[in-house]
Amino acid sequence: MSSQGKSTRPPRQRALRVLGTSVTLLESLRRCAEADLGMAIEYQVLTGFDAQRQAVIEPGSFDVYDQWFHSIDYLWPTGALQAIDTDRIAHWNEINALPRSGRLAPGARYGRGCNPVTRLYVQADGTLGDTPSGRISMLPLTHNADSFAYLPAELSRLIGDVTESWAWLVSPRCEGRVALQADAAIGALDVALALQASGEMHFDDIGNLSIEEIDGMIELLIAKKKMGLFAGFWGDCAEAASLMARKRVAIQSNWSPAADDYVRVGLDCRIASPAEGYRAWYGGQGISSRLQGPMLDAAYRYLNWWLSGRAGAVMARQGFYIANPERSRAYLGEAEWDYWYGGQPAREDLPGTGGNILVRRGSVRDGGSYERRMSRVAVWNTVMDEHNYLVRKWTEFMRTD
Amino acid sequence: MAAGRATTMKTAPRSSPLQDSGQPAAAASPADAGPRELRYDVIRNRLRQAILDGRVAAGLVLLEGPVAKVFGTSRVPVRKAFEMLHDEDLLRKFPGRGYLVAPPGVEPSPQRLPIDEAALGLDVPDATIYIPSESERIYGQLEQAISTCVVFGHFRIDETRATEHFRVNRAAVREALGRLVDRGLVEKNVYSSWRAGPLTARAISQDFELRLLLAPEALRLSGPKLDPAALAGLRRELAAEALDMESLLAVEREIHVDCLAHHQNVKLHRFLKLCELPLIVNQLFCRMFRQPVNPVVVAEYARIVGNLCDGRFDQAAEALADHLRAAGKRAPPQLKALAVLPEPPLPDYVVRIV
Repeated sequence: MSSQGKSTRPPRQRALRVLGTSVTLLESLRRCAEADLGMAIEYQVLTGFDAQRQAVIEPGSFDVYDQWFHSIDYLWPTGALQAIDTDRIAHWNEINALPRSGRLAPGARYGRGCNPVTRLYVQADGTLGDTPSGRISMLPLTHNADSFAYLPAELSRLIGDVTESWAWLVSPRCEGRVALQADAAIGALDVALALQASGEMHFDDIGNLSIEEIDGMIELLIAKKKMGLFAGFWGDCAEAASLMARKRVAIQSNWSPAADDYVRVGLDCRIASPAEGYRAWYGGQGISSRLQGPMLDAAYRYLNWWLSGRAGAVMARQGFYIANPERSRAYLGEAEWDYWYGGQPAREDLPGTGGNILVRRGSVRDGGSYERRMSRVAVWNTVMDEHNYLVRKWTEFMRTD
Repeated sequence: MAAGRATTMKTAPRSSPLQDSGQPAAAASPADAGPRELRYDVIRNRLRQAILDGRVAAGLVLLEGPVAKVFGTSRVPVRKAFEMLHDEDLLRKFPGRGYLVAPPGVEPSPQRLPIDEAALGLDVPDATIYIPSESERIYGQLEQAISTCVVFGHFRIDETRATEHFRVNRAAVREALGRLVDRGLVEKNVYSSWRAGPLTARAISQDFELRLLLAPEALRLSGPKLDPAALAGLRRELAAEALDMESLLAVEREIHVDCLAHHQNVKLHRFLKLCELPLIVNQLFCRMFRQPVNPVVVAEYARIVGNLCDGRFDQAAEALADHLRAAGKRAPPQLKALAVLPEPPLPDYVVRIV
């Protein structure tokens, strides 16, 4: 065949591959992004741990990585991501102070653990730190403050106290009624907060436990497990809801999207606003170190789309905040904005991400407004220095009968 | 420093523990251990070929002691080799000590000549045969398996299973494990089993602290005794554009181990050997994640070697201290990243405790 017979059209660009979890990679969002950007997008939805592992082991298997800031501790040293040029992020200047400085407002509490600002900026020597620069590791996007979920009627009977406290999670009064998140990175932080609140342990830095602190905590937890405190452990939201509905669990670790599952199984469940503060997390998107040329441009377009408002509104309907909230306000009803960000009682029934009614009229979000909740972060989800040791010991605790 | 890389680096080159499947590998088969050559076989084969080629005088009287000296072995394998060659009619007994060389078709008469390499028809100037002992043969594989497993938890090393795995005697396993105890990778006290792991950020950090205290002084003491030609070789290697990760890791070992060992303070040497976790973790990390060469690290090593080459030993020690401080900051993230890896298939002599 002669060359004249060939098409002169440029080859069709392949789909942008986004690796992440079900927390943010929603099919409805993918379709929206494809329509808005006019390009094909593929979502690879894995569990948090599997997504981290794939990104580290196969850095060529994705274009955009969508996960929590603390997982940058795995990805940055292995060279899986490239620095993001903030000049190419159209709304970079709209991103609020929380990820830029570690505090939403000057008087807010500076959360321990993986405060996103500590992993945000690329420093001169290639490491990450909080000194501002024009290059960042991940684009800060979704975030939230988590605590624990409980059945108010049950806890009122078991505890009696009205002040919500992490200490409830390890109270002997809740024997056989407690469940924890199975993942050491989150479950261990929840119980560390609980043991500190109950006065049974004190940690020098709850976001970075020492070997002795881990040993002491696991020893205490094993003793509590043998005494029958824990009814189970869960890996995802459906399991969490099932434990409450079927296994008499009255109080447990929580993920915000589980609210939908609790409603679905008919539970009257409340999310606590603990006196000691929240365990928070920050999510973002990074770009594969292998990406260049037109696909790199496509990745930047996708990142910019996430800050353009529509994605932030979808995230809000499952309880998550976005780094530049005002942009998403235009895509939310006034009642939605006032409930999710303003902390005001819902003036009407409000939908979740799937269109179903998630929030009943009159409901109030735990902890109040965005500013109030995100100013009370006790600790950010993190990968501690002794993470490897913690995971092994946590496994020992989980295996103990 | 010894004459050069070839003589100072006795460990065999290792392939990346991360296989193409993306899975790290630690459970190599026993066949992957060093070749199992028997000394008497090597001696028998070399003498046999030399006799058949006519490179050894007919009638030469062979005595165990002098022949053992040429080959650098004890008399035992020489005696066994003589017996085998006698069975093949290439050596004969005679009324005297030793054997006579008897090529086919020749009726030899005793010739008592000095026995050296030339007399034995060995065409290489240094005929000493290097055959690793059983423990040396298995050491590399044992070290690789244990330095990998410690990332994944706390393990017991089962001596009996190890002897079966490697098909060696218990003494060989104990000797190899003993060397790993010397390197701080395995623990053992009188009543306990051999134990390894779990690798903690604290243990690595403490090794860095000790290295920072001791290594610069060891380099200052060793510096004047290092071979300039070998140092120039290291300098060239670090400046080469084609420097790959394996070469850089070899240079790293030269600097952190060999360059620090040319002094008389035996205890200093022993203490430095005890804190090699930083080297082990860096090697694991670079190999498992197939890291490209980091120019920052190359520059740090080039500064150390450059100062050594120019005889500025105080500055070399200072550069080593700076490098250790920087490496100490790089190490904790490396350990965290290792935690993401799937647990590789481990050999059965490595038994999980936690």
